Amino acid sequence: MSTCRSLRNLFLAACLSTTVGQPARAEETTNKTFFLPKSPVAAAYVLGRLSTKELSEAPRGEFVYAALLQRKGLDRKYRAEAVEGLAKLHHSDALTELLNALAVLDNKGESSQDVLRDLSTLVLQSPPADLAAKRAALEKTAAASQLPLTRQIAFAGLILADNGGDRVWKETTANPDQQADLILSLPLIRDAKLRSAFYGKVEPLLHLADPPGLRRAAMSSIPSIPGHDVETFTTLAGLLKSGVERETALAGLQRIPRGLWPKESAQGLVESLVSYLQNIPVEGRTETGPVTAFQMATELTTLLPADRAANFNKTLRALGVSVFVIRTIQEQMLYNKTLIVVEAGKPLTIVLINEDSMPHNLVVVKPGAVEEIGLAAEKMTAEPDAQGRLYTPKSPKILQSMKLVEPGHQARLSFVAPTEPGDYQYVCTFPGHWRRMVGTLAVVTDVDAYLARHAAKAPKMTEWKISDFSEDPAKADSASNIPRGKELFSSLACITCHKLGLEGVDYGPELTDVFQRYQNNATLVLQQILEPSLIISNRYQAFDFELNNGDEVAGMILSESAESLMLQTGPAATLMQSVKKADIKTRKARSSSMMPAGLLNALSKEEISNLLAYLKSGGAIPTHEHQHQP
Amino acid sequence: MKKHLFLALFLFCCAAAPLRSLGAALQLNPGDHLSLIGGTLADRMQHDGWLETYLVAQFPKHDLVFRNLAVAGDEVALRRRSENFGSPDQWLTKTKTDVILAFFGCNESFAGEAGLDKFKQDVDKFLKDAKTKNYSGKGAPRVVLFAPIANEKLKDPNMPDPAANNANLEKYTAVMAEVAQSNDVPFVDLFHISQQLYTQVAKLDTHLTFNTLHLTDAGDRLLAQAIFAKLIGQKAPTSGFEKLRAAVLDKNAEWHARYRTVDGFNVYGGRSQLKFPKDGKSGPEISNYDIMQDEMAQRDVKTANRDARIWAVAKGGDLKVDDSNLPPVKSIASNKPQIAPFLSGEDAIKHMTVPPGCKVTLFASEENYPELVSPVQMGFDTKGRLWVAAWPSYPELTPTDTVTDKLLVFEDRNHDGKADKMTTFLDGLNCPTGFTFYKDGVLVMQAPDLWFARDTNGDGKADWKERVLMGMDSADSHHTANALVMDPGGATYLSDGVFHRTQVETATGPVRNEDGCIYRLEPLTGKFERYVAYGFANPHGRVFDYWGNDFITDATGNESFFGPAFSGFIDYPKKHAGMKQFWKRPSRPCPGTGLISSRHFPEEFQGNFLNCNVIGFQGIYRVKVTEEGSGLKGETLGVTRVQNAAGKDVEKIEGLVSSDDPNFRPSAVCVAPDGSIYFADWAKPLIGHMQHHIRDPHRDKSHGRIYRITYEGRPLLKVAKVDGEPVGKLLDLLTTPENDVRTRAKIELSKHESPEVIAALKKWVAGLDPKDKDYEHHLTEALWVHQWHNVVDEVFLQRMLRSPDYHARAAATRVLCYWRDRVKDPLTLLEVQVKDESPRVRLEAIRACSFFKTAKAAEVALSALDKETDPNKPDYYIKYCLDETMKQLDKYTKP
Repeated sequence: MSTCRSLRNLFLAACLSTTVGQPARAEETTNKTFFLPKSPVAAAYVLGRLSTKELSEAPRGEFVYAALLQRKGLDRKYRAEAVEGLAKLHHSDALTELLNALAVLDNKGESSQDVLRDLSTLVLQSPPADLAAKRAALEKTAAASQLPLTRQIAFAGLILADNGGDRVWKETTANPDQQADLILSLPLIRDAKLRSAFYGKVEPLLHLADPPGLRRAAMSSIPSIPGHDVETFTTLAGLLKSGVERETALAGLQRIPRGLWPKESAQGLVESLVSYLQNIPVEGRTETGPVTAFQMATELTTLLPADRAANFNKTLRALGVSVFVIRTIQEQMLYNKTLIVVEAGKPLTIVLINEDSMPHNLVVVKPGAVEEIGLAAEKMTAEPDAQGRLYTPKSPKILQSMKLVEPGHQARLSFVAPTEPGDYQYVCTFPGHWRRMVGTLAVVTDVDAYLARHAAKAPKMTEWKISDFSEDPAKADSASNIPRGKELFSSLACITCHKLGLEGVDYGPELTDVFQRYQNNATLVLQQILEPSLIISNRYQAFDFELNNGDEVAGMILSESAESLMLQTGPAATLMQSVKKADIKTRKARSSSMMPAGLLNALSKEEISNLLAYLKSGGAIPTHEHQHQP
Repeated sequence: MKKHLFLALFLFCCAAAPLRSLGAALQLNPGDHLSLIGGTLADRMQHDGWLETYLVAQFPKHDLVFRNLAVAGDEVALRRRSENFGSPDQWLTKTKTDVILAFFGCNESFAGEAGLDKFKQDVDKFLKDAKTKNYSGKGAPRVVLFAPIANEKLKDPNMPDPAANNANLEKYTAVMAEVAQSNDVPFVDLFHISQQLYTQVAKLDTHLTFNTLHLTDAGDRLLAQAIFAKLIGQKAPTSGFEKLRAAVLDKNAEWHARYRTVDGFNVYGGRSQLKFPKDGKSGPEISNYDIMQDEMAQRDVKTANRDARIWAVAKGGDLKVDDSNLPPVKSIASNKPQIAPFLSGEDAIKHMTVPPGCKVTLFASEENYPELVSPVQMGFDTKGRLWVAAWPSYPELTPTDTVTDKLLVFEDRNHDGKADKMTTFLDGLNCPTGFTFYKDGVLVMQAPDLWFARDTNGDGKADWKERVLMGMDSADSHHTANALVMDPGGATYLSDGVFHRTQVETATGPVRNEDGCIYRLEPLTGKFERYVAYGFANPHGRVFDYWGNDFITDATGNESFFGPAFSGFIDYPKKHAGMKQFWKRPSRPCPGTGLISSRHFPEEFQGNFLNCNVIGFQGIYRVKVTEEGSGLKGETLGVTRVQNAAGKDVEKIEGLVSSDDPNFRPSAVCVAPDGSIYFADWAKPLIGHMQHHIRDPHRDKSHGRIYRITYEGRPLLKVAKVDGEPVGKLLDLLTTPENDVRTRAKIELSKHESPEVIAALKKWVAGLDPKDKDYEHHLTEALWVHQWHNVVDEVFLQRMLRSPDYHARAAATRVLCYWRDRVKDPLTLLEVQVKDESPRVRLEAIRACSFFKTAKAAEVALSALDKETDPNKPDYYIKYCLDETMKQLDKYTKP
């Protein structure tokens, strides 16, 4: 342990060498000003890492304006501000800056679609004279952009610049692709008159099979041309029945307001849709197209007489696929669901989402065959079979099987349940796993009756009191139980009234920083959950109103003016109601919170600590953090 | 030797010296149960046992019961444990505590001035709460509050200056004194007592801590004497109770095995609830908890049996400990009744496939060496002997096991590729998950501690050990720190898997972590920090390549990662985001990794990453490693298409070795001094921790093999002599292409005094031939030797930062990162590195920026973006590392 200082100095003194122990505490600084590198690339990166709120509050400058134009999910007023700001900085004009921004976004590719849509409004609100002045630039954008949406915005701009479609229609006649873009730009145009002028041009294209792109564009856009709904419905329905561009036709039909659907088309169309669905194999029926067809058919039956509607609905129900999502539990070698119940002979889809850190699969076997299949799989070498599946023995007792699903991936099995009722099983056949990862696929004749008979054991109910938690109830420093807390946040329906991080509804108090508000004291937070009426902040005070007309209204007051009150009567943006003060007979503050007590009664202590840990996390799952990158 | 004599004399003198007596601070009653709580100071007391011995000796008729409930890293208001460990109150109740000896304030003091108020409140609350408890059934516990000891100033230049910590500790001590007084609780000011002791022993040119913070056995003894004097008001007895102390230590070891049981997550935590049919088939089920709690009950009885012996010895008699009174433990039948019969070690070779030219031979097996069971890690020492950590008790020892885990040493004296001698270096271990050589000894994991064990008398057996690091969790025994290796610059790496709650006390404050993580330890300086804070399930495998890049493998999913990209700094408790694997592995799981660096094998084997895999493919994957952008990428070698039995075209992987023997489970692989490759076979039918009951009777406890692979027709390498070589010869070995030889040379160099090594190194560097094609690597080794010896040479570092070889520049950038507190203006140096033409160097520079605490560091890191050809599509690892670095630096850039 001892050292020889003199020896050491022989060599060390000559150069800058030093031998020292632990450093003095490293220099720590905090930044007082807004941090923005000078290089545009680095600046864009730094701004890209800011939250939407931080970005919207950032000190303005060229880089910040550029970022405001490109950030997804930003209020449109910031886009307008950015366009103006840039125009001033560059001594240009708003439209020039907007077209530049379109070019940048187009270059970035598909991920820019949402922002492009946002900017389209600004472009197309420009005075027609300004657009006319930029006609050449718009033509170039319409012709050369990589994203269809960019091209469509430009075409819409050209229509507005010309105050009509004749010129640009003529200019694109020779190029069906361009004309298709032009047609697809119609829904972007707000002026109904301008759109209407296209009917005569677009309608004939519905009847021309060639070029198919042009017809598809026409089918998509024609519902946005007002005044011809019944005609359009009939034409599109006809195309659908004959199987022409079925998905486009369906999407077009869906765009026509339901109240305008002609009753007389309903029966034929439902029949056509049913027969279409019948011909789609089970695994295809959960794709977007068939799901839309299913929805359309169901909606159409409301136009039919009751008895016929009932018949169709029965047929449709039998065609509908039951979808079950099964997840693997991290580090537990278990499925999260160990029982799924399905009607004999009915189609079903099982989606296996592997959230564990090792691969798993899901194999459906005949009743009682788990051990036999598990043992057989264990003896197999890791050699994929013809379908690329590992550890899947050849056995008539296997009904369905899939490839190994890697961590973070998912796979699905779509099939028709056996007609023979019984307790079939599903199991992971990765060697060794079958001993734990097993579930029952109950195939029954009557699902409701089965569920009633096998009602899940009522959860143990505890009327929790804060005194039951003498120690730190959160133990919220543990990262691993946060995901469970997150599940509880949903399953207890906290999420339907509270916002936490990016999720939830802004009705009750926002919970993202709830721990900060309660001095990071889990006991205080828990006490407020157990006794929601303990502290009610003014903003969330509930009132009962009796109105002069005898109606009763209850809600929280969002704002109050001399004449009226704005009430939030429930957890949705639509549940806002303005009440005239003159109409109010009585107003009574409730002594209790809108939040019910006893929400945690079905939980165990452990689960409560998980929920608190999730609350403490502010909605972030620490072990797999993903930085928001626009 | 001389020093020990001084100390022994001092121990007598000190005890004889008059101590200011305040009268007895603590009244002890017959039958009292005393519990120690606190951090490492108290945690270590159970292993030294002095205070307990003195008190028992003083009150021989009291039949006192001591239980140590301390855990390294504990604070008065923060005592993290793995899931369902039990609360402090539950444990104090279980131990029927009458007297609490509470040692806090050390870890709290790192919060400095700002943390004083909270600390005061916490201590006050603790003392007030205690008055309301009744753990023993006899009323509220009596509490004695102890201040933290001071940090000791050591002469060793590698040890930190204690001044700053002591300034804080003194303030925290004052607060404790105040709160103790206001609560009328006895208080012992260990801070000033320890400072006095340090001053006294410094005059004898010795010291009482080994790392400024933690007491040696002698230190604990002196402190215990001082505590005794304070508590009892008399001077401590000084001799005549070695037998009593041995009885105390025996009892404490048993209690430690109970209170700090390894595998806790399976004993009391989440997986303790896993149930298996009692008959192995489908009958009623029995959980891990059911059986493991039976075992805990046995440990309780074993501890009590040892209490009885302590009492007997204290009274002047003795008692033979008789454990025939242990309660029964439930049993369970295997859920895998049919297991394949074991092949003999030789016969098993017939089932192995190796690449053309390669040949497997048996080096050792349980047939010749019955101690060779369940090898988990192995390595060659500087004498060329093969060390093997044997883990027959997997998943962990039972209370009644007679065969314990071991560290074995095999010798092949006639160089015929077969072991001809075996020595047991350490016995009586429980789960020795990993070890690595250091100086003249070995660092070995014995959860929750890391031991430094040495053989001082040359008989091949350990006779000296120190717990150099405490608080590594082992809530899942096979997630415990494993695969210890030395990096090229003399740091080693410990790890945790999921479920763990590690807390380690260091000179810069407690290091804590939840679940998975890899840590970096500099044994020379005691620096310890989180190295890769990542959502690992169970990291099992670390290996460094020729230039010091590391490959890190997570066992469960056999996910292997390019280490430099995700080992930047990030504040606790945050972790790094998910990163891609550097190699698309065909299967999992992986218990160990290696790397081929041996001229005995042909060119196409050089630099291959080796990855053991034990399910599906039972063998060792051979992975070709090539450059890709700033990182490295792997590609499985030996993949061919063959027709299977059904005549179908399937993919077949040959690997370095593979076998169709179902019991073949390669667990570790390394290159031998003669260039051949050795690998260990865990040799088990059942391997999973979770698929079978912890005590499934088919868990094999009697097989283990070591095999050797040579390449036919190519000569073996001449074995370099390392052990006992002079410094100059050892430096010459640094030009050897084999990584293993250079690593062992540096381990041997670490036995020598640093000034001697560095002086010789300077001469050696001057004598190197600049035309040598490996000149820049030789220089890099010289830089690494500086790092090994904790000697900063800024001029030489700057030379290496601008080396013509980018590998050397990258390696030097890594060294700069760890010297950043000791070079002038490190960020200015990094500004150059971050714009290097090589993406690898840029990556290292971005990584280094994450360790700074300024906005300037963020600016430096970001300037790497200007070197990207397409900023919309940046290099994967550069983007990843920059994102993570910025995540860390956000708080310094945002107002």
